[in-house]
This record gives sequence, structure tokens and C-alpha cells, in this order.
Amino acid sequence: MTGFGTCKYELRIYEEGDEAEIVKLFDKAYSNYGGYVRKTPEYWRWCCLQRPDVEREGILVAMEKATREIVGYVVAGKSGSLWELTCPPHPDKKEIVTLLLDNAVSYLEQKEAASVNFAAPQADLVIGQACKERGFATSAPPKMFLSVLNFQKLVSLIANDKADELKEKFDETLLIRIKDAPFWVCDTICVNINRNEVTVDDKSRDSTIHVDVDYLTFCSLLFGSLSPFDAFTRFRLKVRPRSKTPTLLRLLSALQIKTDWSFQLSEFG
Amino acid sequence: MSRLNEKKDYECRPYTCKDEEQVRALVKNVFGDFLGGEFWNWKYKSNPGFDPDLVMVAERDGALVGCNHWLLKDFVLSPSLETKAVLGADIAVDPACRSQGVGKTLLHSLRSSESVKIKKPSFVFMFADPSLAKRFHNPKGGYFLAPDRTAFYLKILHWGKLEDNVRRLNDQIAAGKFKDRLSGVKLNVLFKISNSPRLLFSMTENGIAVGEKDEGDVRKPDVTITADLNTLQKVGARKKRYLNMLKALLTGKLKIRGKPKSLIALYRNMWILQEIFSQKIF
Repeated sequence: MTGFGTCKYELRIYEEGDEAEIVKLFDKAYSNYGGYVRKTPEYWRWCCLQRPDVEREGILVAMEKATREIVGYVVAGKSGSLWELTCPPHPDKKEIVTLLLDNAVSYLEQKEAASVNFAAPQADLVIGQACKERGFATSAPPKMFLSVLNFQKLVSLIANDKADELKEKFDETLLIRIKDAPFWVCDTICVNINRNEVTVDDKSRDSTIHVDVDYLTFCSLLFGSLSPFDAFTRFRLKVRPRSKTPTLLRLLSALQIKTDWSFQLSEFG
Repeated sequence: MSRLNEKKDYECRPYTCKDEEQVRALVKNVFGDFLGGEFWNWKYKSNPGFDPDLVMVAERDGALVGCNHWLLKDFVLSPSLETKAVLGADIAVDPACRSQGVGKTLLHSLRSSESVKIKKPSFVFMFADPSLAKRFHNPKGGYFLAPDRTAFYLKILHWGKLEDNVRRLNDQIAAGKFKDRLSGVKLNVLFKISNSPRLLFSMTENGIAVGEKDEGDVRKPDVTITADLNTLQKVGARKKRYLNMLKALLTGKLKIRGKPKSLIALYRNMWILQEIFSQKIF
């Protein structure tokens, strides 16, 4: 396979030891996204290299000829799935993606796969354009579903991540009661924000703001698929005292995960 | 855990290494080739994150009738935020024990298990067919759709799977199953699916012939159907088929061209295409 390529880039088959570079490349490509599993070289070996329908010949690495730097890679499974196709931002990204796609399709044609399919971020317009030019259709992506197991931990993580912003803007004790909490989650979350610290626990105490909310609404709020304003206008938030409603909406907005989520097919498994 | 098993003739308990053969057999029985044998070994046994404490099995009279696998992962929520989460992987229930609450009990048992209390994952994530998630995962496991912005790209290389569907239908025709319905049928239907090889169906009372149509092919179609892959999938699905077809026709996503006589013949024999397209086509 060495020698396949354009004037500036060439493809070669995966070689032992590439995984460290590959994982770095993946991290770079997904540095602005969430919604995927953190990869280590060991995890990548299991997830891609050892996957039952993947042969070494199906893992193609694109390199810049002059520098021998890895600039992209694709993991093609004989079943037709491109488990990973990754190319971080690069001036020649479209050329690299096209090179990877063309060679992955040729490999899969040899393997008599019925179709080629893969997932990529919607916001990646370069991949979208390369796919359009190569005759790919867009189809409904696989759906990811979530179920919260530990609200305190999740809210605490988000609150600590945004602690500086919260401490600067708020001085409140927010008590959240989840009306229809499933048996495996605690139905009380207390977020205490003052100038010195942000703490989250499940103890019911005197609060400056009290909100009643249902499980699905609270999950949608945390993961950013519903805005606090929409939740309020749909009567899904019951706030006490009512005068604190604007503060609550700003606080819930600050506690939301607002990053775009995207995953590749290698997340299966 | 015992509370969950009250009045039930099965018991949910954590997996032990002695269960391996039975679990593999159960998964193979439920998912067929997809997850049988080699795939189970890779997905669980060879997985660097496999933790037997996060597998729950349902046992009745010494035999395993269900299992639910969770895999602990480091999940990236945002560029600055990472947490322990579990992938809600394969949940399998012996077909003979369905509709007895085994799946629900397995889902709940893992959620209240000691190992989950110790490992403290923040949430479970999983991939599922939306209709199954609506029917089972959402009401029983509190699942909701992730705020995901992933695009899915697809290119058909050949129609081999669809040809397999036609072969199966022909076997049924040869066995005399559709003898009355096929009487007098003679129709050529050309499918022009965007970015895919063209496909010509020749329907006669002896059976269906299907093949990719290249430029040199002299067979003339009576009816030409033009659509994109997305539309074809929606129209082919059993659920809301006619509504989807009507919508696609009205919005121009599906075009059907032919002489009135041929279109009537197509309408009468639409069941043939439905039989073929309602199964996996790529």
C-alpha cells in the first residue's frame, strides 16, 4: 500500500507502535467535542486493531511525505463500517480525507462489502464536502441514549468545572427536588454557591431558591438539550420564591453542558 | 436485590467466571451470528475495561435466562470535563422467558448493585433502535436521547443483501406460496437510487429477477422509481409505510414514472417490493 497517495501525502498500512500517534490525532480532532470515550493506546488497540472484522490492511495511515508526520487515519472493517476516520484541522484536510476515503472504499470493494458507512461530526463541513463529492449519502445516525445514575456526582463535576464563573455571579443555595426520580437516584440535590466555594450534596437544607422539576426535564437541562427558559415556559420548573426565577434560569444555564457531542462508530463495543 | 426478585421464579445475581459458557450461548441464541462466540470474546473477555462485577445474570433452576453487560469507561462530557460512565451493552433474555420482566429486573439489579455503588459511574450510555428505546429502555431504565450532533454517511457498493432477499422470496414462490397473487404478473421496475448502482427488478409469475443495470443493458423498464437512500429506507420500513410514501411523493423525494397501465400493475404488485425492501437491504 505504501506509495498510494497524492504529491504531498501518502498512505501506508498501520504499523506496530502507531497507536500513540493515532490517539494523539484523535484527541486533537475531537478537542472541541464531547460525547465519546477517552482513548488510550491500549484501549485503541482493543477497540480498533483487535475488532473481529478489522485486518491490519484495513487500517490506513496518511502521512505527509516530507515530514513523515501522521495527518489522518481510517479503520475499515470488512463489514463495511469505517470504525474511525479521523483527520484533525489541517490546510489540506479535504485532500487527506478524500485520499483516506478512496482507499478505504477500494479496500472494502475488494472485501466485497455491500456498503461503506461511517459517522463524523455534523459540524465537520470538510468531511461532509468530501463525502458529497465521493457520492456518499447522509442517513439517520445511530442514536445514543443516556440514563443518569448519580445526579450529585454529575452536578458536582459540572459545578466544579465552572466554579470560577459560578462564584463570581451567584451567592445562592439552590435546592433541586426531582419529582419522579427513579429509585436508583437520590431525589434531592443541593448546590451551595458562595464567594469561597461551590459544594454539591444531597442534604435538604434551608435554601434561597427551591425548584421542583421532573427527571427527564432535569436530565435534558443538564445535558443541554433543553434551555432553562424553554423548561420554564413549558411549566416544567416550579420555582420558590418566584422572584428568584431569573436567577434560577441563569444558574441552570451556567450548569449546562453546552459542548457539541459527536461520536465515531468505534464507540460501539 | 432480593426485593426485586420477590414473587419471581428467577434470581438476578452478579456474573461469575463459571457463567461464561452459558452467557456466551445465551447471547449467541438471542443475537445470532452478530455477537456469538468470537464477538463476545472480543467485546467482553479481551476488553481492557471488562469488569465481571458489572455483568448481571438472571438464573432460573440453575439455567441462565438473561444477562446484562455494563462496561466502565472514561467518558468525555466536554473538553474540560471527564467522568466515569458505563456503556449499557448487550442485554439478552432467553426468548422463552420474554414478557416476564426479566429484562427490567436485570436493568434495575445493576443500577442497585454493590459494584455500581462502589464504582460510582455518573450515568449509563447506550446505542439502541429508537423504537425499542421508547418501548423498553426509556420507561424501564430512565433513558433519554443524548444531545448528539453526529452525521452518518453511507455509500452502497452493491445490492448483494437485497439480492439475498429476492432469493429467499423466490424460494417461497417456488414452494408455491404466492401462486395466486403472482398470476399474470409481468413488470420491469428500475430503481434509480442516488449515488448507488441502478437496480432492475423483472417480475413474472415464475419469480423475481433482480440485477444491477449498466448502460449496455437493453431491457426497458415499465416503471422507473427515483429516490435517495433515506427515502428508500423510510418507505421500506414496515412502520407508517404508506404515510411515508405519500409524504415522499408529495415532496418530490420519491418519483414514480411509467404508463398508467404499468403504474396500476405496480400498485397491485407493490407487496413484492415490500417483501424485499422491508428486510435489511445493505
